[in-house]
Amino acid sequence: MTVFRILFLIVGLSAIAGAAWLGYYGVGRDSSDLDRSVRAGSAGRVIGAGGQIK
Amino acid sequence: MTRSPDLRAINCTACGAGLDVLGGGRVATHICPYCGTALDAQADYKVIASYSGIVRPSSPLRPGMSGQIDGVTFTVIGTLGWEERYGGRTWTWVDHQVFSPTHGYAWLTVEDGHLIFSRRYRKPCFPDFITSATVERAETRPDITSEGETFRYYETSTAEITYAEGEFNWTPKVGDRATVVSCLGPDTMLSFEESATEREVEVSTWLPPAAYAAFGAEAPRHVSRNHPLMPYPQRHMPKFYMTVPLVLAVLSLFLGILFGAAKGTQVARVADLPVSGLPLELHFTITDTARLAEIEVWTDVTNAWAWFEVGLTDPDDTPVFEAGREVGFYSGRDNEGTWTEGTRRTRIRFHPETPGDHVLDLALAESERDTPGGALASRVTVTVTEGLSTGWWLFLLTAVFLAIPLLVFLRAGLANTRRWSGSDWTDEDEDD
Repeated sequence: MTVFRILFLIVGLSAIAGAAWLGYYGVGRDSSDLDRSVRAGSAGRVIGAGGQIK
Repeated sequence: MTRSPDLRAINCTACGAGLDVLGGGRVATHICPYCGTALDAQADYKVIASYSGIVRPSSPLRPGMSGQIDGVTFTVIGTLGWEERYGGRTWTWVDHQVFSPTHGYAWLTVEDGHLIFSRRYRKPCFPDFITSATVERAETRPDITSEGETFRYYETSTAEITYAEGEFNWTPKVGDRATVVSCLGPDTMLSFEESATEREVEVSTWLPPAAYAAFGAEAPRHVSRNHPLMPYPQRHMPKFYMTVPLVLAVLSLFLGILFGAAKGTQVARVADLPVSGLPLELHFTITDTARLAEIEVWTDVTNAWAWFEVGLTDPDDTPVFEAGREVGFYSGRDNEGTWTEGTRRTRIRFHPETPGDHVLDLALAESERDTPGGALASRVTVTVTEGLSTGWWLFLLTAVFLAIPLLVFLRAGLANTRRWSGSDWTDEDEDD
C-alpha cells in the first residue's frame, strides 16, 4: 500500500471524525432566520405585535 | 536457393551502389535506396522491379539503426511508405522492418509521431480471423478473444505502398494494396492483414518516446494527442479508490442516520393547546448548552396558514432571539390524484448559551384560510428538546465520498472515449 493510499485513508477517517464532531454538537445547524439583534441592547420587540419595535 | 549467412554487403546489380546486408538469411527482397531497383535476395539479386521517382517518406528511423526493444536488439533493415485515402482524407505512415538474429523479423511503425512495435501473432484467436467482409456484415461491433483477452473491432484500413527501400522478408511492391482489420484489446492491438496472397495476424504495442533515442533517432516534434495504443493511465480504475470511498461513505451515512435519528431530551411540552390560550409563556430548564436545542410548533391548519411569533428569554431575562414562522398545509385532488403541500409543523434550532431556566413566548400573529373549506389553526402543540445532534455534515461527507469513485469512473470513461475516438465503427442507432 502506497503512502498516498495510507494518507487517503487517514484523511477520509479524519473527515468522518470531524463531521461526526460537528454533527454531534450540531455546529452550523442553528436556524438562520433567528433575530438575535434584540441581544445587542435594543429595546426588543413585542411578541404578538407583528415584529414592530416598541 | 538461400543466401549465404556470411554475406555482409553487396553491390546493386542495377546501379552498382554498395548496399549493406543487415537482414539475415530470410530476406527475400532488397530494394536499392539509390536507384529504386528491387532485387531478389534469394536469386543472386536479380532485378525484380524498378521504382523510380518515388519520394522517401519522412521518418526519424532509417535502415542500419539498431536499438533495444524489451531487452532485444533489433536493427532497422527496411522502410515502407503507406498511404490510405478515404472520404477525401489521406493518412500516411511509415513501416520499418526490423530484424533480430535471435527474435527474427518485426515492424516499427511511425504514425503521427507515435512509435508502434508489431510482430507476428501466432497464438490462437477465436474466431481465428476477421475480414473486412465480416465487419461489413456485423450488426454489433465485432470482437475476437485470445489468451483470455477480448479485442474489439477498431478500424479497417486499405492502404497502398508508396515507397519501399531496404531489405524485407517478403516482396513488397510499390502500388500494392493491403487491407488490415484492427481490433483493440486492453493494452495491445491485433491486426488481421489480408492481401492477395496471404493472411497474417500481428500484435502491436505502443513504445514510449524514449524508444526513438534507443535507436539513436530523434523523436518527432509533432506527436498526435491520441493513439489507441497509448497507455491512457486514467482509464484504469484503481480498486482502492473505487471501494475505500464507498466503505467510508457507508460508515459516514450510518453515523449520519444515527445522529439524525437521535431524539435528544424533551424539556417541555404543551399538547393540543387551543389557540385561544395563546400567547403562551412556557418555562423550561436547559442543561445542555453544547448541543442543539429545538422548539417545535405544530398546529392543525388545513388549506390555510398561520403565522407564529416566537421569542426566547434566558435565565438572566435577556432576550435570546425572536423569530416568525409560517405554517401552512394544503391538500386536494386533481387529475393526477391526491396531493399535499406544505407542513403543519415548524422547527427552530439554536444553541443555548446559558444553562438554566428559559422562557418561551409563543403567539399566533395571523391565520388565514386559502380555500372556503380550509380550517384555521385551532390547536397548537409546542415541544422543546435539548441535546440534539445533526446528521447533516455526515450526509454531506457521504456525498463527497461517493463523488470520488464517480469521478474515477467518469475519468476512465473520458479516457476510453479518447482512446476509441479514432475507431471507424458506427452503431446502427448512431446512423439514424
